[in-house]
Amino acid sequence: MFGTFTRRSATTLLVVAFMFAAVVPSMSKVRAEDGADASAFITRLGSKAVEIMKSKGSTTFEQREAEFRALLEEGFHLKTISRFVIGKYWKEATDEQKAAYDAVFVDFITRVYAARFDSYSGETFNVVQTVKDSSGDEWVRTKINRLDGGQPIAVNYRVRPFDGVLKVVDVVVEGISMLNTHRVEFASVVNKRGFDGLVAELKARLDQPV
Amino acid sequence: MASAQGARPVVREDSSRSVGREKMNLSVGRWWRMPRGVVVALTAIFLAASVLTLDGCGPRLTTLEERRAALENGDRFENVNRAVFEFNRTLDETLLKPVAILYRGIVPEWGRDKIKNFLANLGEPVTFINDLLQGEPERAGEALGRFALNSTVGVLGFIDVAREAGLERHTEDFGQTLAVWGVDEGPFLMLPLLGPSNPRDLVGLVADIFMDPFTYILPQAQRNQRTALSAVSARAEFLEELDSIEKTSVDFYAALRNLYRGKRANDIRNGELPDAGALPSLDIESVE
Repeated sequence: MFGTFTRRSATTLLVVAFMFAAVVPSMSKVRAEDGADASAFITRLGSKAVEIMKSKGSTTFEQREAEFRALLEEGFHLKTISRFVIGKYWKEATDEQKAAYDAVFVDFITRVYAARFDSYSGETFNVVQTVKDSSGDEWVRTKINRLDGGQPIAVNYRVRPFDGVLKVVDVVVEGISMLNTHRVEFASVVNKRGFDGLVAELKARLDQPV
Repeated sequence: MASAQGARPVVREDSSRSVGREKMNLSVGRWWRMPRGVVVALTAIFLAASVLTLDGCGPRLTTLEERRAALENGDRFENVNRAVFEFNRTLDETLLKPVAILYRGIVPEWGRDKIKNFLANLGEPVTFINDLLQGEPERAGEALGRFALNSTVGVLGFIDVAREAGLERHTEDFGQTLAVWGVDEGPFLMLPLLGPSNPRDLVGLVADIFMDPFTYILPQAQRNQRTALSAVSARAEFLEELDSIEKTSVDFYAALRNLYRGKRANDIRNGELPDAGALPSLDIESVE
């Protein structure tokens, strides 16, 4: 009995090993090509963001914010992001509410990224690795190197092709998804103050000085 | 009154013991006080929070929708937590933040870096023990190596020479160890002074104090200084970040709650990517 068992598991092992041997090289080849694209895409996007920040001395925050907006509209899939962040409340909203939300969302998300990036003071970043997850999204892992040589900050970009064009769908800073953070916040405000309350709060944030 | 009388014999025994040890020039009797004080205070807060919420003495979750959302968020004490959060914010605005700004104004960046290194080095033994408890001998070795190198060559930890030698810093605590052992985080807790937490991390926090050799080595005054300096140093480091998060969030409390959870989950994974199954699919169809 014992003999049969070992032989059978040995056979299984062999079959599995063979399958992997056959599948893995082809998989990693595809991965490397896709990964290179995604990695180049994020490098390009990041360099543009750095360029915007470098002009800090000669531009106003409003100017930089406008440039950020263009960058987000080019590199991010804002529809996916805005729908995910509002979650189930989208379905319950009226057409007017949806329009009001759409009108303010991109301004809001632009403000968030522009404000966070505005503390930039010459840090560098580099792509560490690109990994494809089971859903087919690429995860581009980058590192922001601090000027004082302190522990680098891990920033991962979730990238997905839309009609063959790569777009960012989430930014994960030190393991914290920006998308998820907004989703939780938005849900909390809708629960307390309703959909209109959320739109009002988003507008209020935009009226605040940065 | 009754409880104070009941506790009296214990107190007396304890103080007499510590007096005796002091005579022998040992401060062993004293270490016991802080952790126990912390345990008692935190347990009291936690119980008070639970009782208030359960009995409805505290602010109630008014609508059914609110109650359901609080449960979904793993934040069943949300109203008490928010009240504590407001208390913490007031304390931060009036005390910690001004001191942190002052600290940044007085101590130049170079000095602040060295102080940060010094404090981080004091934390290495706890990281080492928790690495071992998590079955990570390699990381334990790194923590131990860093501690040995930085405490000596790095002049009591003020200079992070280990980093130059390729030993990157990492931190572990007993809350993470419990997570690795499979303990659930439990409901979200906003602790007075200590900030965001959960029962698992609260137990971890107390356990870390007990397993920290410096709890036993340093006299009370220096332990307090260490705690205060850690708080000011950390607050000074995150002045802009916290301001920015506050300005750009529609619900600062919910944002911090999520940041805390995300950061902890990331620390528990040691910064690795989460399983794809744990991630939202982010399809328009699935969210519409």
